[in-house]
Amino acid sequence: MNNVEWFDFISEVTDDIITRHTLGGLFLQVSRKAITSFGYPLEEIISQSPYSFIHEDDIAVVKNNHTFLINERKSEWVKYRLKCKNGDYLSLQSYGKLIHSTLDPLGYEIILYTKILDDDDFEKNIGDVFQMTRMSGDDETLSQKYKSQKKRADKSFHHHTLPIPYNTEEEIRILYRAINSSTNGITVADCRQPDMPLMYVNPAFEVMTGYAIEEVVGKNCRFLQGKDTDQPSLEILRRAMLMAEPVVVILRNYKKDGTLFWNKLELAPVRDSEGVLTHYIGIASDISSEVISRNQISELNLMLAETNDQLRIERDREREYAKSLEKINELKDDFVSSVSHEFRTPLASIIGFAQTLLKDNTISEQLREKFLHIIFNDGKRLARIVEDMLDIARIESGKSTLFKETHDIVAIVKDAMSAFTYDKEKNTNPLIFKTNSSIIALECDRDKIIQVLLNLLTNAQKFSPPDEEIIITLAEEEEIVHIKIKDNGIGIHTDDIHHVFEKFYRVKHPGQEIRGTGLGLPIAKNLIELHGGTISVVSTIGHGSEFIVTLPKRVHE
Amino acid sequence: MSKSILLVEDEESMQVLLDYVLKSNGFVVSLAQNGRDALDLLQTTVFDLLCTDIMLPEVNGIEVCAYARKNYPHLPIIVISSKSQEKEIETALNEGANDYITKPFDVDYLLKIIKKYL
Repeated sequence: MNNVEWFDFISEVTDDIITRHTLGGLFLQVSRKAITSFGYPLEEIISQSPYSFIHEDDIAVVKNNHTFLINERKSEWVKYRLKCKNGDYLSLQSYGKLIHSTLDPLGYEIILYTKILDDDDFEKNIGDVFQMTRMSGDDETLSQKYKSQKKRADKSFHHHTLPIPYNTEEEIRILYRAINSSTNGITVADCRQPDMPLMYVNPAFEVMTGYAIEEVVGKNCRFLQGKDTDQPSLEILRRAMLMAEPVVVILRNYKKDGTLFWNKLELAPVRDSEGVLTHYIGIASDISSEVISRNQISELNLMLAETNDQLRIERDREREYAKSLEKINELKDDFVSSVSHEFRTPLASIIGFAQTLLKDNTISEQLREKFLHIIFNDGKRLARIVEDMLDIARIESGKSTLFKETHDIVAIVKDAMSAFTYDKEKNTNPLIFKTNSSIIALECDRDKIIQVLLNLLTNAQKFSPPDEEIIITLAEEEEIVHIKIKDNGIGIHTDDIHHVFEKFYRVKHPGQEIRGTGLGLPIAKNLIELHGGTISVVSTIGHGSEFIVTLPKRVHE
Repeated sequence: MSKSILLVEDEESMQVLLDYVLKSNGFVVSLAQNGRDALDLLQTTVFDLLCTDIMLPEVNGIEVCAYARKNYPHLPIIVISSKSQEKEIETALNEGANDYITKPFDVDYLLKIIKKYL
C-alpha cells in the first residue's frame, strides 16, 4: 500500500480534516471533511500552497511550525485562520507529521491533522487519536503492545519492525485491519535474511493458496511455483528483485492441493530510513477466472474473427452472385425483349397477310401468291429463331452432339454460300470466295459447319451497308484449315469485341438497332469448339470485321 | 381528297402489308425505308399522318417522332412497333407519338386508329 492508497483509506474511514502535503507544503491529498469544511472543490486545492489560503497575519506562525517540523521532525499544535471559499475565515488548529514518501525512498511527506477550533470533541480527539510520536524510537514499544492483541501477525512485526510510518496503536490497528480484511493475498518477505523468507502472510493469502501461515513463514515463496519454473515472468521477477525495483507479474502458481491458479503479483520493495532494502511487500491476486475468461475471450475472438472472415467471404460471394444475377437478369430481359421482337415482326406479317387474304376478295391472283409467299418465308423465319433457341439450350445442357464424317470443306463453304444467297432473297451483299484448294478433306458435322457459316454470313451482312462485298477465304495447312469471313461494315468497338461470343450479347450501335437473337455467334463458337477448333475476330471501327475459324482436319477424340 | 400517310418501315414484308392495306382503304402512301429518308420526306412533303416503326437503321423511330413533333406540332404520329415493353411505349409517347400499336396487330384495329386521327 503506498501513501496515496493509505491516505485514501484513512480518508474513507475518518471524519477528520486530514491533508497530505509535499515537504514544501503543497496539497497532495485531502480528506472529504477538508473539502466540505473549506468549501473549495478538489481542483482548487490540490497542488496549491496552503499559505495562499491562510490569513496573512497567521502566515508567520504557521511557517515557523512548518520549518520546525522539517528540521526537528517535531510539530506543535498551531492555531491559524484559513479563508474558505465563501470568504469566511475558519479558525483551525493543526498538527503536522513527517512520513516516508513512497515515491522517493529517501524523501518525506507531511501529513496534517486539523481541527476546527470550536469543535467540542477537540481535546478528546487530540488525546485519543493523534498522540504523535517521533518517527523513530518508540515504534517497537507500540508493536509490542500490538503483539499482545494479535499474536500471530505480531510475531513478524515484532521481530522485523517494518519502517511503516504509522506510529500510534490506532494507526497500526487500522492498517492491520486493512491488511487482514483485504481480499488480496498480502505477503512480507525479509530481504535481510538469506533466501528472503516470508515473515508474514495475511488470511486472504491462506485462503488463496490453501497454505496456513505457519507452513509458509520462514520459507521462500518459490514453493508456489512447484516444478513449473520455466516461466518468462519469473525471470522478470528475479531481475526486478535484483535491482530492488517494484514489479507486477502474472505467474502460474500452485495451491497446496496442486491446483493451478494465475497469480497477479505486485511486488514493492521497502527500505529503511537509510534507504537500504529491507523487505518486499507482495500483493497477490488470483486472476484465474479472469485468465480463463480472457483465454475464452481470445478463443471467442478467434472464432469470431473466423466467423467474420467467413461472413465477409459469404457476403462478397453473395454480392458477386447478386451482381451476376443482376447481369443475367439484364441479359434475360434483353433476350426476352429481343426474342419477342424477333417473333413479333414475322408474326405481324403472317397475321396481317392472312387477315387481309381472308377478308379481301378483290386481291389479284398475283398479289395473293405474293402474300402467301411472304407468309411462308416469315413462317420459316420463326422456325429458324426457334431452332436457334433450341440450339443454344442443347449446347448449354451439353446435349449437342456431332455426326462426324469426312467431307470436302471447299464444297461445304460453297453450299453455305448458296444457302445464304437463296435464303436471303433481299441480300444484296455480293459474296466473294477465295481459295487455292479445289478439295480439302475435313472430318466434321456438315450441317453444323454450314450453320456456323450461315451465322457468320448473316452477321457480316447485318453490319454491312448494302452492296458491300463479303469475302470468304479458305486456306489449309498440314493439320488445319482456316475459314475467314471479312466484311466492310461498321466494325466492332474494342469494348464490345470481347463480348461478341457471349450469349445474348448484342452490340449497341448509336442511332441504329441491329436485329438478332444475340445467339448466332455464341452458337457458332460452341459448334466450332465442339469440332476442336477456334473462332476469333479482328475488327476496326468503320472498316469492318473479320471472323477467323480454324478447324483441325481430323477431330481428336 | 385522299389523305396522305408517310410510312416508315424497314421490314419488307411489313412494307408490302401496310402499303396494300392503306392504299386499299383510300390513303396515299409514301414509303421511307429508314429514319433518315423519313426526315428528308418530312421536309419536302406535307403529310396528314405519320406511321413509323421504332427499330430502324441510321435514325430510329423515336428520333423521327421527336423531329416530326417539333417541326409539325399538329401531325398525328402513330408508332407501330414490335417493342412491347411499357418503357418503350412511354418513351415514344413522350417523344411525340399520339398512339402506339404493337406488332402483331389486327389490321382492322390499325385502320380504326388511323381514321381516328384523320
